[in-house]
Amino acid sequence: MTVSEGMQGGSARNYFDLFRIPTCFDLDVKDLGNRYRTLQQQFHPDRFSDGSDADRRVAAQMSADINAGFQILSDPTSRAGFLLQCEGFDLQALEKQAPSGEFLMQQMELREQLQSIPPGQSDAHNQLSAESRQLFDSQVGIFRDAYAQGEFDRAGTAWVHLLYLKKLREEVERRENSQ
Amino acid sequence: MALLQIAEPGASAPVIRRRKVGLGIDLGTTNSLVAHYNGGHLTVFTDSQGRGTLPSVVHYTPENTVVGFAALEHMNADQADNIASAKRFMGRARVDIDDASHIHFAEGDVLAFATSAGAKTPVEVSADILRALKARAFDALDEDIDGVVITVPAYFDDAQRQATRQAAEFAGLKVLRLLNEPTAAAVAYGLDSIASDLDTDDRTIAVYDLGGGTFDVSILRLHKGVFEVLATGGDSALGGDDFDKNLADYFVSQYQLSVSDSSARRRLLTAARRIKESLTDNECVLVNLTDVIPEAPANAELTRQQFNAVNADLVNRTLDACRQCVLDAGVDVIDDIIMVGGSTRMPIIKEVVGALFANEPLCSLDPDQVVAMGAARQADILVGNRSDEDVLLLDVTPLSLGVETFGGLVERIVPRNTTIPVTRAQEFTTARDGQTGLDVHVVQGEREQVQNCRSLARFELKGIPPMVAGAARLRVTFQVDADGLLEVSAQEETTGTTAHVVVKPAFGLQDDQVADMLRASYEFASEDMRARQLVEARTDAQQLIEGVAAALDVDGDLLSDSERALLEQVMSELEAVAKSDNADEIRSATESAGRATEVFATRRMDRSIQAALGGMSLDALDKEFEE
Repeated sequence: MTVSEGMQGGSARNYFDLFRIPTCFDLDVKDLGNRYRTLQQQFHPDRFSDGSDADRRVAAQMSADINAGFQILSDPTSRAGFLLQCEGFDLQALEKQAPSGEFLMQQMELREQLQSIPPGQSDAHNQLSAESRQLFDSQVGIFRDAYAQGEFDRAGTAWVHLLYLKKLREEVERRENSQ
Repeated sequence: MALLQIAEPGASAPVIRRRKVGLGIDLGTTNSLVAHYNGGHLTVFTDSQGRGTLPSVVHYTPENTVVGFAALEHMNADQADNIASAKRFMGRARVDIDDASHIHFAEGDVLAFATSAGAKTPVEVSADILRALKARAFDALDEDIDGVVITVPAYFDDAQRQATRQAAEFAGLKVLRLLNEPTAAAVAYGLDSIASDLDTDDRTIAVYDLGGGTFDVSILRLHKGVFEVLATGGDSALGGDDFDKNLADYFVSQYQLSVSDSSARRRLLTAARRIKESLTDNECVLVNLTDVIPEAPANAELTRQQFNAVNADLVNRTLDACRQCVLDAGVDVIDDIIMVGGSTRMPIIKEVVGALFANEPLCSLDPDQVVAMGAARQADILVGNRSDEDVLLLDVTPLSLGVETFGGLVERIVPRNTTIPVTRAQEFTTARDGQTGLDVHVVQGEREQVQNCRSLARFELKGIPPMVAGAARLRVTFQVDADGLLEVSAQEETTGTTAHVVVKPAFGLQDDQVADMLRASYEFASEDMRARQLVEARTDAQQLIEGVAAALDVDGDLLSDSERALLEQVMSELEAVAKSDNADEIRSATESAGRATEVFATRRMDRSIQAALGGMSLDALDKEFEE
C-alpha cells in the first residue's frame, strides 16, 4: 500500500466552532487550553462511565474531536492548514505543489549547513536555530497578512513554506538534543 | 454532569440505586493489591494475617489452585507447577520469548506454562490472581463488586492491555478502565497534598516508578482538576530484581563463589535482596552467605556506597529515561516528584531523582500501595459515585500506531504520546494497476521498519474496483479508546467498500479457545447470578428509557417530528422486550435501542458546548502569539 500525503483528522468538524472561538489565525493559546480542558471535563467518556453504551460512544467521538481540535489549533502550522481547508483548499493537492526554486535552494543550503556542524559546536547550532526560527516567523507573518487580505493562494504558498520550515526546525532541535 | 443524567419521571417506577462498589487493583509482576475507596475512606484489603500484598504467584496441581503466600511455599519444590511473574508474558506469543530456559512452556503456538494441572496461559494465571483479590475484597465488604480499575505499566502495548482485560473477564470482573500505574499514583497523591492547589496554575508532576521488574517514568500536568499525561517512558526490563542480581554477581566475583544449581542461585538472590533492603536504614551491613554457600565468608561487610557503585549503571539508565521523558513532554520545571514501587526505598534513588528534578520527592504514601490507592479512587468515580470535584484523567498512547506501507516501511498514523481517545485517518492508494484488495497490516512501535515493530493485526479490504495504480482512495481510520485499545477500519471511498477489525490480542489464542475459557468461567454461575443478570439487564433498559424520556422533555426541539416519533417507537418496543425473562434478549434490545439514540445524543452534546464554555468571554481574548 502506498501513502498519499495529507492532513489527518477524524471528522469534518470546524474546530473553531467547537471551541467557540472566532475563525482566524491569531488565537490565545492559553485560552484555547482552558477551553480544551473545560470541554474534556464535560465530554470525556469517563464522565459517562455509568451512562448507556450509546452515550459512551458519542462521548468518545466528541472527546476525540476535542483532542484533534486542540492539537490542530494549538500548532500554528496545522492551524494555518486548517484555515485553508475551511476555505475549500485540498491540502493534499496543495502539499504536492513544489515551492519556488529559490525557496528550495535556501532549504537545501540550510540543511547542508546543519549536517556540516561538528558535534559540540553549540554556537553554530544556536545561530542556525535562530535563523530557522526567524524564517519561520516571517512566513507566519506572510500567512497572517495574506489570509487577512483574503489572498488565499499566497497564504497557501506560505503554508507550504511553513511545512518545510517546521521540519527544518524539528531537525535542528533533534540534533541539538542528541549532542 | 448536567448532561444526559438519569432523571426519574414521577409516573414510572423509580430505579433504586445503592452506592456501587468499585475496586482498584494493582496487578503487579511480583505483588498484587486490591483497594477500595468509599466516601473519603481508603482501604487496602489484607489477608487473614494482615498482609496487604498478594504475591503474584500461582501454584497449580490437578487437585487445586493456590495463589499468593501459600503458592510461595512451593517455590523451591515444584518449580514447573509454580508460576511467578506471569505479567511479563501477558500478550506475548511463543515467538516473542527468546531466553526463558528456566520456564517450562507447554507444546504448541500458544504461549502457556506446562503444569501438572495442564497448560496455563499467562492470562489464566493472571485471572487466578484476580480471583483471589476479588475474593479478598468480597470477604471484607460482603458486597458484590460492580467494577474494577486495573493498573498497567504505561509501557504496556495494545496486546498486553487486551490480555489484561481478558484476564479480568475470565475472573468475572467488569473492567471500568485500565489505568497507567504512574497516573494512578498521581491520583493517590491528589487526594491530599495536591488537591489543595487546584486553583493555582499548572503543576507538572514526574512519577518515578521502580518496581520489582519494571521501570516507568511519566510526566503529568495537573490543571484545574484535569490530569494530563504529557509523556511516558521507561524500560520494561529493568527493576529492583536487577539490583539483586547485580549484587549477587558482585558477591560471586568478590568471594569467588561457585553457584552450582538454580536452587543455590535463588537462595543467593534472596540473600542479596535482604541485604539490599537492610541497606535502606543502615549505612553498612554484615554479609553472611554461609547459609547459601558454605564456603562463603561469614562476616564480610558491605557499605551503602559499595552497593551504589555496583548498581550505578542501573541507576543511570533510569535517569536517562527520565531525561528523555522530560524532553518528550517539553517541560522545563518539575513541581512534584512522586516515588512509586518498593525499589524507590533505596536511598540512592531518592537522592539522584531529587537532584535530577531539583526537587524533594514525595514519599509520604507507601510506595507499594500508592498505585492501588489511586486506582481505587478512580474506580469509585467511574463506577458512578461521583461528585463535581472529580479529577479527570487524560491519557496518551504509549507507543506509535501505524500500518505497513510499500517496502516494509511503517507509516505512523497515531504518534506516541497522543492524547486519547483519538480518531485519526490517513489516505492510501493502490500500488498496482487493477489491484482489488488491500492488505492492512497494523503495527505498533517507534521504528521505521515493519520487522522491528510489533505486529498487532492484519486484515484485508476486498472488492476494490480495478483502477490504475494511484487512483483508488483508501481511507484507513484508527480509533483508540480511553483505555488505549485500538480499532481499525478501512474504506474505499469511491465505492464505499469497507472492512473493519477490532484489534484482537495478538498472543496466539484462537477465538474458540477464548470462548471455551469464557464458557468455563460462566459454567459456575449460579442461579442467583442469572437472576441478578436479569435484574441488571432490566435496570439498564429502564434507565435508557427514562433517560431518553427526560432528554426529550428538555431537548425535544432538536429532533424533527418524524425523528421523535421513531425514537419513541424504539423505546416503547424496548419497554415491551424488557418485560421478558431473557436477559440476553433484553441486553441486545437495549444495545440496538441505544444506537438509535446516538444522533440525538450528539446533538445534545453539541448544544451543551455553549453552556460549558459560556463563562469564557470572547472579549477576554488576549492576543498572545506563541511563536
